[in-house]
Parts: sequence; C-alpha cells; structure tokens
Amino acid sequence: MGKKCWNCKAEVLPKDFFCKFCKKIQENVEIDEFEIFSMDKSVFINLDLLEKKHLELQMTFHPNKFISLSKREIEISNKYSSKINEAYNTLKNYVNRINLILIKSGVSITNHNETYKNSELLEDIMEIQEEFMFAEIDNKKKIKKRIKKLIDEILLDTEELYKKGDYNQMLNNSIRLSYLSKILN
Amino acid sequence: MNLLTIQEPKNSKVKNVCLGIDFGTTNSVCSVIINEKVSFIKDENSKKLIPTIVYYKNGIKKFGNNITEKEVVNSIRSVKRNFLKNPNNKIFFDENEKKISAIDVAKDFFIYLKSLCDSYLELKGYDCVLTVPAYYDEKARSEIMRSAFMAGFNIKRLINEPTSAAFAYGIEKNKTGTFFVYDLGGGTFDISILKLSDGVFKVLGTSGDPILGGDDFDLSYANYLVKKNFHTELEKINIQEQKRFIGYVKKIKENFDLKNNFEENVTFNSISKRIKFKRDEFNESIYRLLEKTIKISKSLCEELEITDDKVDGIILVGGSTRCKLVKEMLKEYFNTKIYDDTNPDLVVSKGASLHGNDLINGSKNLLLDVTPLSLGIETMGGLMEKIISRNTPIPVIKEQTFTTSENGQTNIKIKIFQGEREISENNTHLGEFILAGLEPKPAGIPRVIVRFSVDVDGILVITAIDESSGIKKDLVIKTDNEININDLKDIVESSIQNAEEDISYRMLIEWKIKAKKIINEINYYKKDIEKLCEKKNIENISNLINMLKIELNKNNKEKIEQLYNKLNKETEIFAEKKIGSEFSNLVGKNTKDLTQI
Repeated sequence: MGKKCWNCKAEVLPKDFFCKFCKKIQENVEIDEFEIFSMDKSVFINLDLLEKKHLELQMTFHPNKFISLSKREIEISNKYSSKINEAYNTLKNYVNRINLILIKSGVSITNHNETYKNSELLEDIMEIQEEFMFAEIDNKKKIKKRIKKLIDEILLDTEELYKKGDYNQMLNNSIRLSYLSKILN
Repeated sequence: MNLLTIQEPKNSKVKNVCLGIDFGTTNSVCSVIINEKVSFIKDENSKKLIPTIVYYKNGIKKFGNNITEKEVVNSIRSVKRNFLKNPNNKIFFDENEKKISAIDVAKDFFIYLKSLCDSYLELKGYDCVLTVPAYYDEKARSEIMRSAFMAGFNIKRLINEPTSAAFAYGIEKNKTGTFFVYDLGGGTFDISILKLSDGVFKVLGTSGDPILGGDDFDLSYANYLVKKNFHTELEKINIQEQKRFIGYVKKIKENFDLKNNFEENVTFNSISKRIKFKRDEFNESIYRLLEKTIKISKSLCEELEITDDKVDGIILVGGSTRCKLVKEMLKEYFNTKIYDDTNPDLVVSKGASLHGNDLINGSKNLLLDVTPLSLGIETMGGLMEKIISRNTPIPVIKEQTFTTSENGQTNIKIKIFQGEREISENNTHLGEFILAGLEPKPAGIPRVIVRFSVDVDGILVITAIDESSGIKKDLVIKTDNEININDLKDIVESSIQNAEEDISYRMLIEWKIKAKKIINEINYYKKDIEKLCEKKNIENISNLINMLKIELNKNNKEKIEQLYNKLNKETEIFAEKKIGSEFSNLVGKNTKDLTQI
C-alpha cells in the first residue's frame, strides 16, 4: 500500500516532500545525505556546490517559510531543516564524510578510536604531534603545511580504496585523518 | 450559548503587522513596517529611544522617559543584566513594597512598551519578533521570552541582535560578502561573522561576553574620576550617591563624541569642584575593556579560519560603538572597512521588524543562525559531554540513548549544561529532568532515546522516548522549569483574539498558565494517583482534566478558573495520601531509585 498525504489523502511517492495535489509538506521522508545534496557518494565533493545546495534546501524547508501554516507543518519543516543542517555539517568535514560512506557501506565505526590508540597505525602521526607541540611558531606553520599535504595524500588514497571496496583500509585512513585534523585544531 | 461574533477591526491603520522589539540593557526600541517603510514607535514624549528603566514608589509605576532625573536614582536600571543569573530571584520591590523578580520587572516594562505599541497601531493582537544578545545562554533567552509573553506580546520569533542588525544593513545597503557585526551595547558584547549573499544571511559563528558593555565603561571611568579628583574610592560612598554619579558620568562621556577636552562643575559626595575632562583619560580607563572585545573577536576568526583579507567590513551596532576609541582600535587590529553610517541604537529593532514583515508576508530572504554555546549533559565524574557543539546551524536535532545503571531502576536523572568548559559545574546549569516510569529491568537493558532539539529561536526542547521492548512511548519529563516555553507560546497565541481587553487578556493568560501547570503536575504523578486514590476520585480528576483541556483552547477565563479550583480540590485527597506514602517509602528499599547516569 502506498503512502497517503496526511491532508488530502492523495497518494504520494515515498520520496515526495510535498503532495502533488494539495502542496502540503509530507512527513517521514527518509533523507539520504548525499542524495539530498544531489551528490555522488565520494570522498571528494564540491564544497561550493554543497554550500549552494544547502542554502537552496533551507530556502524550501526552513521553519520561517512555514510560520503562518499549521503547527503540524511547522513541526515537519523543523525536522527536515534540522536534518539538512546535520547532513551539511557531516558532508562538510572529510572525516565525517568518510565515516558516513563507511556506515552506508555497512561498516561499524563505533569506538574504533579506543581500539587503535596505541597501534602502529598512528606511530608516525604521534611523532608529528610531538614535534608540533614543541615547535616554535615559525616551525609550527611549516609542520602544519606538512600535515595538510599528508591529509591530501590520505584522502586520495581513500578515494582509491573506496573504488576498490577496501573498507577496512578506509577505516584505518579515517582514524589517521581524525588524528591529523585534531592536531590542526 | 455564545454565538461566534466576528468583529470588524476598528479604524485601524493596519491589519497584518509584525512588531520588532529590541529590549536593550540601556534603551529599548520598537518598530514596525507599514507600507514597506519602517516606523519607530514613539513614547508620550515623542522619543524613539525608550530608556529601560522602571520606577516603583508609593503605589505608582513609571517607565522610560517619564521618570524624572531625581527619580532615576531610585529606579531599576539595566534589569536585562539580571537575566544571566537567577532572574527568578526576588531582589526588587514593586510599587507596593512587594518583593519581585527581574522577570516581573521586565514584564512590567514590556506591558508599558505594549501599551505604547497598541495605541500607535490602534491594534491589540499582532505578532512580534523579539531580539536577544547572540551570546545569551538558553536560560536567559527563554526567561526574556517568558517576560514578554506574560506581558501579552505574541512573540513569533526570537532573533539574535547582531543578526538582526546585519539583516537591516544588508537589505538597506544591498551588501554581499563576509561581514563582522561588532555589537557593543549597554550591558552585552556580541560579535557575529556573517556571509551575506542574494538575500541569504548566514551566520558562520558568534561569540561575545554577556556581561561587558557601556555600563562597564561608565563604572570604570567613574572610578577613575573619583580617584583622581576626589581622592577616594567610588565604592566607599553610599549607594545612592554612587548611582547618581555613575548616571552623571554616563551623560558626560557623550561629550567626547564631539570634543577632546572640556570642563565642568561637578559635585560628588557633597564636594563641588571644577573638573577637566580629557579624552585621553577616558580612553585609558576603558582601554582594557575594549581590548577584551578585540581578543574575543580575533579568537572567533581563528576558530572559523577566517583571515583578515576575507573580511569585507565591520558593521557597528549598539550605542557604545559611538565611542571613538572603538573605531580606532578596530581599524588598528582588523584593517578593514568600518560601516557606521546607520544609527547604532535603532538598527537592531529595524532588522527585527524587517524580518517580522518577511515572516508574515513571505519573502525571498533567509536568515540562518547558529547556537552560541555548546549544549551537553553531565557524565560520570562530573564531566560535560557535548551533544550539540557551539556554532552549529539551527534548527538542530540530536538524539542520545540512555540506560539504567542499577537493576530495577525505574528513573533516570539527567543534568543539562551549556558552555565550553570540561567540568560541567563550570558551565551554566540549565536544569535537570527525570525520566520516570520505566519498567523495572536489569541494569543496562532499558533504552531511552532522548531528543535534544534547538529550534529556530535558539530554544532547547527535550523529549524522551522509551524504546524498551520495542514499544515507543512518550515519557513524562519533570524539569525544574515552571512551564514549557512552547506551552506558553500556545497559550498566548490562543488567547490573542481576546487582546482587545488588555487586563482581562493578561488575566486569561495567567489562568491558562495555572491550568497548564496543574495538568502537567497531575500527569507526572499519574501512576501514584492510580495507586493511591479511589476509583471515583480518579474518574473525577480525569474528567476535570479533559474539560480543562478543552477550555484551554477557548477564552473563557471564569470557566478555567472554576475548573482549576475544582481540580485543585479533587487532588487534595491525593496530596495527603502521597505525603503519607512517601514516609512509608522511606522505610522501604527504593532509595537507589534516582541513580544518576
């Protein structure tokens, strides 16, 4: 049995945000982070496009656009608007983005930080971190550049791994990336 | 039977308007858009700037510009500052010497503002947008909103002051780019960084100091003057004289807008002297305060990774930015264009009414704001676990699953904090709630999903769902808050048709609040009531609640009052029994029931 519009009871498709007949906003439409921003699942995304799409989506779903409508419609818009903000935040950040791809590929990523804390996976990163901590300001800038270069390399590698479907190595890369980004902050 | 009567609007100037209210520490401003033009609401003295001052004495209340200079010393000023710490504390006295809180004082002031707006608009029921400092925590936000609601203002949106100013500026001057809004008011400092493009106003981040403003300039300069010219300390003198002198300094410093040095005869603590006022000395006394604002601004830039060359300009907001040193220091530290060509006192209210007009009439503009402070809960060892980080775009919803730590535990207590510190006690304690009525199960088995939702107003709403055994049910949440701000919103909105009669309208709101409170209370104790009371009694309570719920959507104050009193009487029996059972519970073994997670 198909989904029906809560207002006019006309049939609506599972991915329709608005009823074709009465134009009312529909409840419980599943939002896929990449899909709603019209992007392919990938390690690299177009950040300008993400920004543009985010604003476009909020133009449609922000609760301010529903303020004179019924309470129910305001509540629905609040949910979508929140989800869009969250998806935007997730996609914007490369670590979260890779983790999202992993989750969507059925990989469990919870608590992996604990497991890998002392493994050789992070040995070189720990060295960089130590070097960074004790460096002079000028030198800090140089190390930062080095870290950024390393991040770019890992990202390229991750994209390759994703194409091959090597999720375990992707997970390792994601852990390394999250440590590197923490040093930068 | 009451017939539905449709009232013709009285010769009103307008029908569909949305007021913009800037409730400031020093001054308040209300404005409205009529026929695409901004009009500022003037008081009885034809002034747009209404000093946020309330005077209570011998059975009379006075407000704003109606307070004489003599009375100012005995008046309540800067009441907004009290909203950061326990605005419910009864530390003031009203006109009948009754102890009242900051919320009550603000409510009285809002009632005054409303009377001015009502007579200007020749209208009673209308919507409003209220502005608050961007760096205000959730508690201060909702308490200010509460005061305005209690005064009968139908607040449609709460927006941040710097965002509001940027909105007015961006729309009027058609600006695009990345802008700072440096907002230094009487009591608060906010800095927001926004991206403006094609009608979209996106806040990238915000920071500030909620207790730094022009009031601190006055105090610092007054201290300096007293020390230098009267060779004593300001705080050693009686409080009345202190207040008077600070008020005098507040006025005198405005002279520096035009001249560098001047002389005047000054009386302090019964000593009169001719005093030289020098701008250099004034600057010296406020330098450290301004340095603090620069530091806050710089660290926000770092946090958002915004370099100076990416900034297209700084928009100045708030009366205290008139001070020349502010501009000099901003130029020195940021090397970008400074926009001060709009009245810094009026721009916040203007933005609010422009936004209000957009809301009720629809528009292509969009305001996207963020949460100023991180929200979290206390975990083991008193540490704060962040659930929503600062500068997250709103609205936002985050869910977290909780479980029990003891076998058979039926309650979970959760403490909520807001702030950036690691130790939760160093942050603002927003409140705590108890998830009650869980099925007794072994520890770790129950699963309660708690949803933290920050809405577009920046107000936190918490809901919980018990997911154990796959059955979703709403749990009753008991918080120390009097009544949920969303319930209050509904009450004001549903009563608005009654707004013609001002006094009875507010009474109606008050009775509805009482009724809503007792219903919440009874819902919370529902299980105990079923256990302790007789069938007839339970039935009566449930019938009365249903009747009261129906009345809450109508506007018959007498009926609500009557039902409330009946319900109160009906639950007395339960209250007595409950006290008895609580004593017997003490002997029992359920002391671990309230284990904290």
